Amino acid sequence: MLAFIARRRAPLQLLPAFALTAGVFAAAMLLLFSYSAFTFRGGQLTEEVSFLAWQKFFTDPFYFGVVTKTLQLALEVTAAALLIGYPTAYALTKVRSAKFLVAAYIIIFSPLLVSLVVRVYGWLLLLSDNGVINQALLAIGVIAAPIRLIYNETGVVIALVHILLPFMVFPILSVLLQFDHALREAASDLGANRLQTFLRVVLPMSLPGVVAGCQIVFTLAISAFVTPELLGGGKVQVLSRAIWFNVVDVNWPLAAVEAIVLLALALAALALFDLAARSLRAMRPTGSPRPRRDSPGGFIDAFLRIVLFAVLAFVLSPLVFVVINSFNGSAFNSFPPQGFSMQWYQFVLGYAQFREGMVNSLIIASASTLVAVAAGMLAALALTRGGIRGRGILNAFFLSPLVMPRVAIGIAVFILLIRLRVLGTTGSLVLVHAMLSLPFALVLLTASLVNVNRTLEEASMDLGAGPLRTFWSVTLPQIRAGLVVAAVFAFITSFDETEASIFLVRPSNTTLPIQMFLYLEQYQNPTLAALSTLLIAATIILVVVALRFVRGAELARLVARR
Amino acid sequence: MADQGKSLERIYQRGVSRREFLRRSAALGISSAAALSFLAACDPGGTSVASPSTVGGGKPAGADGPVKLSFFVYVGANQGVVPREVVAEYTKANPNVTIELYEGTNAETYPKMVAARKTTPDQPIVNFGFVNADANAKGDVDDLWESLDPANVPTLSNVLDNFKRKDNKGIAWGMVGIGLMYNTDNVKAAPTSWLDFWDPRFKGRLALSNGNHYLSGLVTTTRANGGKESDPAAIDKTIKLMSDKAKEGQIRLFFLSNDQVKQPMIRGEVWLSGWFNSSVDIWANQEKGPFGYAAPKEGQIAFTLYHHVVKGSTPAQKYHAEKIINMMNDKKWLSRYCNLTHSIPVAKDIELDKALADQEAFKTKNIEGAIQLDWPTIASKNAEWNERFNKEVVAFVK
Amino acid sequence: MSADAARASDVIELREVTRSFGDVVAVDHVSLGIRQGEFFALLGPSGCGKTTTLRIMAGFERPSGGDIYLRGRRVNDVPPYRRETNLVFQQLALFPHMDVYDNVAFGLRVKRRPAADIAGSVRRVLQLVDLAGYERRRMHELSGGQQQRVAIARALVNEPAVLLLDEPLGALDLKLRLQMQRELKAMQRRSGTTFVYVTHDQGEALAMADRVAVMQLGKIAQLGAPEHIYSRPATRFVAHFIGDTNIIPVTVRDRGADGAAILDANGVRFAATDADMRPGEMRHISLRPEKIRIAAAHAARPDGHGGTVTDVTFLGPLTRYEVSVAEGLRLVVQTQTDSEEHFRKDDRVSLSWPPSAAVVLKD
Repeated sequence: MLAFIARRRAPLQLLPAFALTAGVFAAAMLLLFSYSAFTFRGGQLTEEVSFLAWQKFFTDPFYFGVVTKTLQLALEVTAAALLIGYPTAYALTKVRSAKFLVAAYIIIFSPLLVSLVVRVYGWLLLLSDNGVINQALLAIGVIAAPIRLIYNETGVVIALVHILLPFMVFPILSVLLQFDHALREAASDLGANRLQTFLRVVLPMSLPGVVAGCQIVFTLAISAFVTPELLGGGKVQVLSRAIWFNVVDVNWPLAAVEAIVLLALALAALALFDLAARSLRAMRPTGSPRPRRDSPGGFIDAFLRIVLFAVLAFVLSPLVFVVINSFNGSAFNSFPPQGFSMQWYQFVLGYAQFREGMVNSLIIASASTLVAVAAGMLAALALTRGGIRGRGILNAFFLSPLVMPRVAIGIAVFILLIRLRVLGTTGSLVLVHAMLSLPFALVLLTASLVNVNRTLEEASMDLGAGPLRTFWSVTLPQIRAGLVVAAVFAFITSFDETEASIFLVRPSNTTLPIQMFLYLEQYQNPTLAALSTLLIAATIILVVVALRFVRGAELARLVARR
Repeated sequence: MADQGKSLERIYQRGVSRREFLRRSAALGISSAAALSFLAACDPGGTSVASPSTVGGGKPAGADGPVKLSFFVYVGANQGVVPREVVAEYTKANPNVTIELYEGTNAETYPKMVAARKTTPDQPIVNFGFVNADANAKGDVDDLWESLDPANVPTLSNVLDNFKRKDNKGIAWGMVGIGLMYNTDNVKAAPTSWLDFWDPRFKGRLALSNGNHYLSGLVTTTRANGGKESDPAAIDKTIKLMSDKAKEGQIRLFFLSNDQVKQPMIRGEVWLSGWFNSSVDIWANQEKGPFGYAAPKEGQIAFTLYHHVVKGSTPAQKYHAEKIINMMNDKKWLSRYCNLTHSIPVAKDIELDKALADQEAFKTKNIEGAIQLDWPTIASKNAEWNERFNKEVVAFVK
Repeated sequence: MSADAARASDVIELREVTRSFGDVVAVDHVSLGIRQGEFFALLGPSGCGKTTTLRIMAGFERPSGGDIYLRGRRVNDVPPYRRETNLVFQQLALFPHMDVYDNVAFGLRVKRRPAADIAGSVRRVLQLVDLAGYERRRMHELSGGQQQRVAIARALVNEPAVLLLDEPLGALDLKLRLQMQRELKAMQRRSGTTFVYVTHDQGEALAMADRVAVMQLGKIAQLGAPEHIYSRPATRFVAHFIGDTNIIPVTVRDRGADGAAILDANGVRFAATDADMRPGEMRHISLRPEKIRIAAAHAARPDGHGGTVTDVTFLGPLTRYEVSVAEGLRLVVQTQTDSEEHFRKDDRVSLSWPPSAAVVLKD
C-alpha cells in the first residue's frame, strides 16, 4: 500500500530535484555546450556557426596530451588514495575504542570541512623548498639539498589524495564492516595463512567498496582545478585548467568542447567502474569465510596501527601548520614562525568584508542547505520507493554536477543567469548552491532510506498513522543520522564554494570564500590563517554538535554509500 | 534533451525577448515557474531598460529621478579608500543616486563584462569604473566603452598628451610600471635587462605570469631582442627561445595571481619575475619583505590605467558616472588616490608625497620613457598566445 | 450465503479475493468469513498465500479482484491507517526509538485520544500481557518473549475489530513458543477480540485456533475445526500437511451392504466407511499411523493384513514402524512405546484398522 502510494506520487516527488538539476545545471550546461558550434577567431567570439573548436580539439596533439595528462593524474591519485585508503579502512575496523573511532572518522573527514585556500596554504608551508618537511630532512641529514615537493605533480597528487581520501576510505570501510565478524576471525589467523585469508576472502569481498571508492575519487580528481594549479605551479596541464584559460579568454567554443569531453570522460569512467562492479559481484565468493581460530597476529596489528596513525598525521598536518601560522609574528607566511602575535585575529574580527561575507555565506548556505535537503529527501523517497523506471539514469543525471569542473559550471550558469536577468541575486546563488549540494544530499539520504526498516512504517500505518505522520514519527527518526550528515555536507559545500560562485556574486552578496579570495589578491599575510583557524574551530563545534545526533558507525555507513 | 539544446540555441541566435525565453523554458520544463518567480523576486534591480545613449552634455531625462549605478573598483591595498570617499560625497549631493561598489580584478571581471555585452547589451554588469591597459584594449575590440562627454568630464583636458584617448573613449588617469621583481636575499646584483629572464644565474628560479603576455616575458623578450609583438616571426622566435629555456629548466613555476608569485618569492623558491612597481613598492617598503624592483634598461612597461563608462548604461547612468569619474580625476582626489596606492598619475600637476615623488618610477623621464606596448595587438592575440604558450612552453617545463 | 450483503456474524469476509503479482497469483479466488470473537488460523507452507491474505485484510495489499468486507463495509480501497484492524508483525516492528509505553500508546496518540485515557488504556493492556512496570524499558532491554508481548499490546490497545498476527512466534525458541501459544490463547479469551493467525506450523494452528483454513497455492484447501481437519482431511495435501499419514492409492472393488466400500491397494483389501464411490474408481485414502494396530503374526486378527517390519524408529513416548504389507505397499505405524509389544526389523506382523480410519480423499 505504501509502495502504491509512493508510486503514484513519485513523479511529483522527483520534481524539485529535477527542476534544480535540469533548470540550473543542465540548462546552463546545454547553453554552454551550444557555444561549441560558434567561432572564436582573432581574439573574438562570433556567432558564426562552425566546428572549428571541435576540429582544433580533435586534431591538435596538444589537446590529446591534455586529455592523457588528465586521465594519468586522476589514475595516479586514485591509485595512491586506494593504496593509503585500503589499509586505513582495514585498520579502522580493528579499532575498539568508540571515542577514538569517532575522532579518527572526523580527522579523515576533516579535509572536506576546511576551505580550499586553507588546505593549499598548509601544504605550501609543509612542502615548499624550505618548508617543514625539507627543513626536517635537511636537519637530520637525509638530504643535502631541498627536494622539490611542490610546483610539480608530486605536490598535486599529495594534496588531491589528502582531500579525496575520505571518499576512498568510507566506501571500503562500509563493505568491510558488513562482514565485521568474519573479518575479525580472519584477522586472528596467523602467518601465511592469515595473508592467504586476506587475499582470498577479505580482499575479494571488499572489492565492491574498492570499486565504489575508486569511482568517486576518479571522477572528482579529473575535474579538480585549483589544487592542481596552485600546487602544480601552473605546470600540470589538465582539462579543467584548459577550460579555465578558455573561459577567461572568452574562447567559449573551445571551453564548451573541453567541458563536453570532460563530461564524456567522466561518464565513461563511471560506466567502466560500474561494469567492473557488476562483474565483481558475479565473481563474489559464496559462503562465509572459515578461517582458523588462532592467537591474534600482533605483528600485523601493530603494522596496521602504525598505518592508521601515519594517515591521521598526514591528514591533519597541513591544518595544524595553518593553525600554528595564524599566530605568526611576521607578516609573511614564513616557517618557523617569527614570534607570537594575535594581530591577525584582531584584523580578521575588524575587517568589515569578512563580517559581511560571513553573514552572506551563512544566509546562502542555510537557505541552499534547506532547499537541497528538502529536494534531496523527496527525490530519495521517489528513487528508493517509487518503483520508477530508469533509476540508474536519473541517478546519474542528479549526480552529474559532481563531475563537471566548477569553473565550467560557473561560466555556464553565469551565461544562463545573465540571460534570465537574475545574475547576482541572492535567490539565484541559493539555487546554484543547492544544485551543487544536491548530489551529496541525495546520495546520503538515499543510503539512509535504503536502510530504513519498512516494516516499522507499515506498523505505524497499521496503528492508524497516515503517510505524513508515519514519515514524521517513524521514518524521520530512523534517518536522522543521514539527515544530519546530508545537511552538514550541503552546508559545507555551499560555505566553501568559490570556483563557480566567483562568476555569480555581486558586491552585495559576496560570500566569505570569495572575500578570502579577494583578500588574497591584496594581502598575503597570516590573516587568512587566522580566519581559517576560526573556521576550523567553528567546524569542530558544528561537527561535535552534529555528532550528538549521529553515532560513528552510522556515520561510516552513511558516508560510504554512494 | 537534444530538443532543449536546439531550442536554447535558437533562442540564443535569434535573441528572443526575456518573456519569450521564460515561456519556452517553462514549456521545455527547464525551469519551473516557481523557481523563476523566486529568482525574479530577488532581482537586485541595479540596472534598467535600454535606450539609446545621448551625447552632447546637459542633464538627460531621468537624471534627477532614482538612479542606480555599479562602480567597478580594484581590490587591493588602499584601492577602495578614495572611491568610497568620492561616492559618499557624491551621493550626499545627489541623494537620488545610489552606487554599489563592485570590487574585483579586471582579469576576473572582464569576461563577465563581455558576456553581459554579448547577451544582455542593455544590462551591463558594471556601469563604470577602473580599467587597466589590457582590459582597455580588449574592450576596444569588444566595443565596450562609451565616449565621455567633455562637458561632464572637464578633467579630460588635464591628461598628459601621450595618454589621451581617441574620441574620449575613457580617460587615462595613471599608470604603473612593469619591471623586474627579484628576491633581495638571494640576488645580490640587481637584474638590469628583460633578457635577464634567460640568464643562467636564474636557472630554476624564474616565475612567469601565465595568461597575460605583457608579463610573461613573451612581449618583453621580443622587444628586448628588437622585435615587435605585431610581428609573428618575432613572436615565433621568442616562443622558440622560451621553449628551449623551459626544457633547460630555467622556469620554476607559472602564476595567475599576486599571491602565487609573492609567496614563493618570499620563501626564496623563485628569485625573478616581471611585476608591477606599485606592488613591489608596498611589499618591500611597507611590509619589509625581501623584494627588489628594477626598471630594465630597455625601459619599464607603461601599464596605463583608465576610467571608463560601459556601453548599455542609460543616459542618466552615464551622466552620473561621468560626474563621478570627473571627481575621481580632480586634482585633489587623484593625488590622494595615487599617494594611497603608489600609482603614477598621468595628469598634469598632481601633487605627490615626497617619498613617492623621489622614486625612480615616478620620475617624468621614466613615465614618458616607458615602453608603450601595442595593446590592440596584445588584446587580439592574447588567447592565441595563451594557447601557444601552454602548448610550446609550459608543456616542456621540466 | 447471500451474495449482496455480508453476513452479520462475520467480522471479516473475503469474497472471491484474488491478488496477483505480475504473472504470479498469490491469492486465488479466496472466499471466507471470520466470525466475531473466534481464533482463526490461516495455515499453510511458505508461498501458499496466507501472508498475502492477511496483508489484504490489514490493507497493505489491494485485491486485484474480489471484495473484502470489514464489519459489513467494503474496505478494498481503505488504507491500513483507516481500518479497524491491527497487525502483529512477524518481525514485531517495534519502534526502536521509543520505550514500551510510547510504543503501546502510539496508535491512541495518532487518534488524538486524551492523555488520561491513553494512560489508562496502556496500563490495562500492559497488565493483560503481563508487562506492568515495564513502561520505560527500551526495546533492546527486553527479552524476545517480552518484545512479543509489547507487539501484541501495541495492537490490542486499539481495540481492533480484528487482530491480525503474522507468524508472531516464529523467532522464538521451542519452549518459549509453547508458552506463548498458551498465553496468546488466554489473551484472546480474556479480551474477546477476534484473532486471525497466520502460521506454517500445524501444531500451533491446531493448538490455538477455533477454526483453521489450510491454504495451498493461493486457494483454501479445507476450512474447519482443527479436530475435523485432522480426522477428516479433504485432500492428500491437507492430510499430509496436518500430521503424519499414509496416503494409499486404492481401487474400489465393491460396495458392502452397510454402505461401506471394499477397497483394493495392491491386492490388500479392506473396508472404508463414508465412501461415496463407484466400483472400479481409483482414489486415495489417508490412514493415520496411530490408527493402525500392530500385532505379532501369530496373534493376527481375522481382518489383519500380514507384513514384515522393515524399519523401527524410537521416538521416546512413541515408536514408529515401517511395515511392508504387499509389493509396493509400505505402511507407517505408530504405537505407544510403553503399552505395546515391541518388534524388531524383519519380524512378521499383522496390521489392522477400523473401516472409519480409512479416510477417502477427494483427490
